[in-house]
Amino acid sequence: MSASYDITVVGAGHAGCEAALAAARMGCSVLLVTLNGDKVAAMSCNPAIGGIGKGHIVREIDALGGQMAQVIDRTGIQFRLLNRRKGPAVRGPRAQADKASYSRRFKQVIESQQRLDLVQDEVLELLVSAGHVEGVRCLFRGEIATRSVIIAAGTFLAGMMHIGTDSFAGGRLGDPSSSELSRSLKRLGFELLRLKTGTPPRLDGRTIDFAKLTPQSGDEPPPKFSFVIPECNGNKVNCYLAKTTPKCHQIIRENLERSALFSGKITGIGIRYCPSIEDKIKKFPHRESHHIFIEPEGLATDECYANGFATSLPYDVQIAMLRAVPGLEEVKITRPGYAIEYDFIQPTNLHPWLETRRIAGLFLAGQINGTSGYEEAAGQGLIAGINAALKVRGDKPFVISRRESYIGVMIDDLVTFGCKEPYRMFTARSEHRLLLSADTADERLMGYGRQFGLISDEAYDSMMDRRRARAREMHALKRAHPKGQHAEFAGASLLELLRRPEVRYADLTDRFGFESNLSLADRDILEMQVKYEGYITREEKKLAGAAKLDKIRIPEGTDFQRVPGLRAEIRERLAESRPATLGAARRIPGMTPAALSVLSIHIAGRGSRGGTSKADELVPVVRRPPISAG
Amino acid sequence: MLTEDNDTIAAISTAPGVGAIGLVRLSGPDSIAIADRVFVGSKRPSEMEHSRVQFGRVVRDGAVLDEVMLTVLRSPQSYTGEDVVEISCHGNPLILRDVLSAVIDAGARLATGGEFTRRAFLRGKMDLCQAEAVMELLSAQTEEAKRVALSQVRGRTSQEVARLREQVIRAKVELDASIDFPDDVSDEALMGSDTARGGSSVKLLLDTARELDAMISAFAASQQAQRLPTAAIVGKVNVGKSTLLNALLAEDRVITSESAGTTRDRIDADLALSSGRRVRLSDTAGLVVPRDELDVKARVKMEEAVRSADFLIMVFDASSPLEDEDAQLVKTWGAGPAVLVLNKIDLGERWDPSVLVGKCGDLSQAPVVRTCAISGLGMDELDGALDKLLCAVTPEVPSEACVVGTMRNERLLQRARDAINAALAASHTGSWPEFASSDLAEALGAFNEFLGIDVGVDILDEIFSRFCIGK
Repeated sequence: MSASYDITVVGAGHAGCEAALAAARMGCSVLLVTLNGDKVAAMSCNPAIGGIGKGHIVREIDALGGQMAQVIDRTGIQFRLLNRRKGPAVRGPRAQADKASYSRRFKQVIESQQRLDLVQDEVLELLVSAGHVEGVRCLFRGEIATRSVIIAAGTFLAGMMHIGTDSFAGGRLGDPSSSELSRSLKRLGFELLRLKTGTPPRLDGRTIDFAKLTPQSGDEPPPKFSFVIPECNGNKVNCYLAKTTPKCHQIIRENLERSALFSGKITGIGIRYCPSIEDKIKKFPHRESHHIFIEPEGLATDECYANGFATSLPYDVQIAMLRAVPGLEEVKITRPGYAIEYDFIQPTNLHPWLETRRIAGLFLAGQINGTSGYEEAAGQGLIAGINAALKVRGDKPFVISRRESYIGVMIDDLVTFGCKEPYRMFTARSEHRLLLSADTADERLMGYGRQFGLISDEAYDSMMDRRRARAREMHALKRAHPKGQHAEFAGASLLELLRRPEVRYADLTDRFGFESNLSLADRDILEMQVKYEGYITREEKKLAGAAKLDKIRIPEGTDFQRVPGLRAEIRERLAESRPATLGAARRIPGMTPAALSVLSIHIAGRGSRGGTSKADELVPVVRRPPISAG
Repeated sequence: MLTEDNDTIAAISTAPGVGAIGLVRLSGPDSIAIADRVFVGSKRPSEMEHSRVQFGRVVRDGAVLDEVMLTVLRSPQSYTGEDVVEISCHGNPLILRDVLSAVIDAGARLATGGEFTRRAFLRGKMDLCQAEAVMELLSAQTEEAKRVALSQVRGRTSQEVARLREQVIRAKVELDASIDFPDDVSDEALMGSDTARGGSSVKLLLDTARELDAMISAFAASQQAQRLPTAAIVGKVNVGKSTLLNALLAEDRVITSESAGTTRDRIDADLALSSGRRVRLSDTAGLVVPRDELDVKARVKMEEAVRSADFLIMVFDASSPLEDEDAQLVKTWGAGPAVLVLNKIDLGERWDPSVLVGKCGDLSQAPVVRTCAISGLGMDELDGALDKLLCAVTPEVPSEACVVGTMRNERLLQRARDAINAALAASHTGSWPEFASSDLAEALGAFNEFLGIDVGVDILDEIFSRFCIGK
């Protein structure tokens, strides 16, 4: 073989880039292979990062030592905090990106990373021996020896695009697909299934009458993503809101049979939460209007993204229906919307550290696991990269738990239930939403980042300093009382007052004369901890129970058919999804407390005999240092 | 549940069936402290030596629940390896229930199936083969108990709980949709203080909490009356229900008048039949289309009484033609044992009782008695009919599984109601819907446990089918 790397990453999208960076930073030599060296970390769909759930993931990536948050902070052109009027746990940061700058910046980071080689090539085949990855075969470079492979191929595996009744192979408009690798995976015994996603048309901004649209500005001060860089790029542009009309809907209805979606050409399963406009019209016929968010694709271009208007109708229909929207009467399309189908592998084939069960050293991340979205992909890429590096080092795998992160929720959902449609993150997917605030991702996860060498001591110490400062302030609030004439609050401490829903932190400083030592962000966190306390205690109690179950490992190869006292139906479900822990078993539909008891006794018994099950085998222990009130 | 192995659990643990002795067993670190709180004897349980037995009383709020023998077994020399207290009571399941209820109020938790065995196994008091054998048996029993519990509440109660659960899911779906999709779903219309502009969730939850209240008091009422079978007197207004009750009791306990709708509250009275059997009668307000708040309340009380009754005395006016209310009565409550009373027979019989029976097949077996309550005509026949019905419906002493099941169900409904009220409070005081959502998750957990289902609700699934989501 001509060359050798510890780890080969296939695909330089949002998953592949995080994977490659993390593994190289952890000391491995890494080859990052892309089909097109000009499309590193390309934003193939919408020009935005973050949102509710998604923004939480970006913060978590940052706390673990990933790259996404820093790059969007430096290349974002509008920053908002969604759900600002709701509680802190469900507020999600979101930013519009300058697509070209984002990609360029990410490529610079990759190129400046030691031990990491970015190359344009195509991986055609995985070389496997005795169930272990040994190398890859590339189109130009031939065979390359490697100890682990991370496949993060996005929509490129046997990608097929559809516009109206036309179909053409490709991974993204203008880029080829990769079908050799699909075939190689099939030969290795993986079952490849199809998913479908779509993207809206891009518009020529010079042909939009923005005066007829409603502008949406960014938030001031702009909320940044990263915990470790001091400030973000700031607000440079507005987005605009347009509204569809009955006439527009009429055009869509008249042409429904010309949509690739309804003509029977597409076999992949689409996304309900990111429906095409024709889906929306069909499913909700009584809605008179739908929103279209007109979002700039960057500062150096006039192209705009028509968010909410994904379609696979023919080009002539796309033009007609857009022009029925006020403000878009004269609009020109620069790139048409299209639907794309691609291969994915049921993630139930994966261990919770994203290595396939079938082939040791083969990791999968991103859309190949059935997910949708840059953030979901990046989160998996980071975890796959960390684990591939741990494997090269001979260390125990890292399983990020659903109790401490949305990334953990995502991976646990994927490996336990598989995908029936492209998987996107929502806060509703977590049963511990109140504990997973985007603001506290650093507190939850930086310990891991530091352990893997991805987070600097400086960043970690600064997080700990902030925690201590909050603890001191909490202590001070306990002892302080309102200053001035507040007879109605006589005797109440400021902490007690802050517990009341109607009293905000600003009241403590403005009305009650309290001198705070915290930043505004930390005041928010402290207020949340005080106001949510009863809820947090309840959820933490549940969580402690869940934590116990998550630590009880079900030995690999447990024969569920032979567990006495289980109903046949439950045996089958267990055999199908092969849960790694009792916690995962509990989430399997149809599981009952009695069955779980039976199972726990069975594996506890096997464990004490065979010694194969150690309670904490999966999860590295990061102790959170105790906080002193100072 | 598996997840909490460090608390103190309690259960009735005797061989099934009614024996002379019943055992309430506690296991866990607080067992002995809890025993101190409920037991009165010459020594406090905490001062007793290992494996000694002492005579005494289990007391709650000053009332003696039973005279018992109490044994203290200290860790690790017990079945589970933990501190264990065994309270031997009289074998009546109702007494056992009261004692169990007292230790739970004093800090123990109702054990789930197999928990004692699990603890015994985990603390090395039992080997795997023994434990698996017990668990196998237990999981079979759990299925059986669930079946019994379900059949016990099948029909009205479990259907109602399932319906209430659906309502809570609807409210939670709206909340969660507004959290995850603020661009697509406006939250003001859902929760928050702005009930005028929608607040559909708030209204739904208020209704749900109200219905739960009614069910919980019906539970309590049915437990109170468990030693005495109950019959509810129902009928449209002014057919003479109260007059009939007075005639049966031979006293003017109920105020009657010629104007319709005199009885707004339900009135209970105990009646001794000529055979010596006793029955508790509930007089209810007449069935009427509600005109005011008072009527609505009367209707709720009536439904409560009907729900907790063992059988119904359905009263009709024989002297005037059947009306919609009569038909509705038969349609709504016609299933189950009943006696049909054709009152005011002195004024003539204007219709044939088979007309009624035709509307509801279940009533074809029901005895028909013709009375004139004012003059006392037909009261002996009614006495006889009631006696026969009483023999048929007098509940056997309920089984332990049933007693524990009922207690568990009542507590679960209380938990659900409290969580829903907390959600409502959260929605009134602030605009942070994730609090309310967390409370509703708690309520759903209680409903699931009640119905014996352990499946999470796919909230997202519901959201996508109800709202047009997505960019």
